[in-house]
Amino acid sequence: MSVVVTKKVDGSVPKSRWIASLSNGETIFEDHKDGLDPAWERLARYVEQEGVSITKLRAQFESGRRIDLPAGQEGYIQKKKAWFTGSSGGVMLCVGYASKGKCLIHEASNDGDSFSAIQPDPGPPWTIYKKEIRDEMAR
Amino acid sequence: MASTIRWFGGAGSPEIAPAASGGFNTLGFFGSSFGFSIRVGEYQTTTFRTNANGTSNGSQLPNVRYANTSGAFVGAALVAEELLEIENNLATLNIRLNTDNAIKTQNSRFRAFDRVNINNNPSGVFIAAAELRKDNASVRGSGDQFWQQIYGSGSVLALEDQTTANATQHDWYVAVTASPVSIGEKTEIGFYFETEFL
Repeated sequence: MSVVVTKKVDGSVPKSRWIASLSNGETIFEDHKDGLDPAWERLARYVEQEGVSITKLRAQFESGRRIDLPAGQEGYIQKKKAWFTGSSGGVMLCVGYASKGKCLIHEASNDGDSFSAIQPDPGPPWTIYKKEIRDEMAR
Repeated sequence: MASTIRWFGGAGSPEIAPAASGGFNTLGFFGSSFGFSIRVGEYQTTTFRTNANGTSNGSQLPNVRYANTSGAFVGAALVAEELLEIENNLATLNIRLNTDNAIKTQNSRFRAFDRVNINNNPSGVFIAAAELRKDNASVRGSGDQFWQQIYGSGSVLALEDQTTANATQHDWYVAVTASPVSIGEKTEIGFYFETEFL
């Protein structure tokens, strides 16, 4: 069964989003499609199905700011962080890359708050590794 | 993706409204009943939903009072129960995340702070918390066996990763107990929750 991913901006693509470039030349956009798994999980299945790697990941925000991660990393990470204090709350878009068991994560909100930290690599489904590492893990 | 975090006073209890609502937006710990103080060094015997200055009773909530490192008095019980035997619906707080797409969660955290900076300790009160995970009366729970004191970034309660299946609603159940360390009304206490998802 083919995996549904979004290759051009349409109504399912949020204004603040991650964008992944793949080694086959395709560009995949985060989407929100009812009834489907999160876009990052579908992207993980898609790169497996196609036998390709993410070569670059970036985040774009509605405000116009963007975060560009360096190309050709061992793995890329994406997640959202939701928080609430009772008086305020929000959601941060987090993107990062993994190398040798660690990852550098950038957390950012649309209004400009941002925070970066080195953390342990969380692994799948949060991290999507490049093909060579996935093949090694499968052996 | 739209997401909403809401706090309820125990499962099935009314929502503790967002602070900006001006309504019953506060979790209040009291002595023997609403408005009664807790003696220094003792723990709350009642918990209420109340307004910001604690003067209006917005309904009684489940009370889980510290008994020992692994036990609590639930409601008006005179005999302590193990934390692992307290059912979710008796938790002080039910924290609920709703998202418009089904997700898994990880790295969920609950902390107490001074309502100014989430890294600061709450002021004038000892706060301990434990996650409850017992949704079947006949099966022993799988949550926290021991209370954990929580204070700012120094001690944060880690909650269960919910990664088994994608869902649009995730619930966490937390028992919270409070003990003043000095005389006087304590208002520099807030709670903070965070979670991660794809």
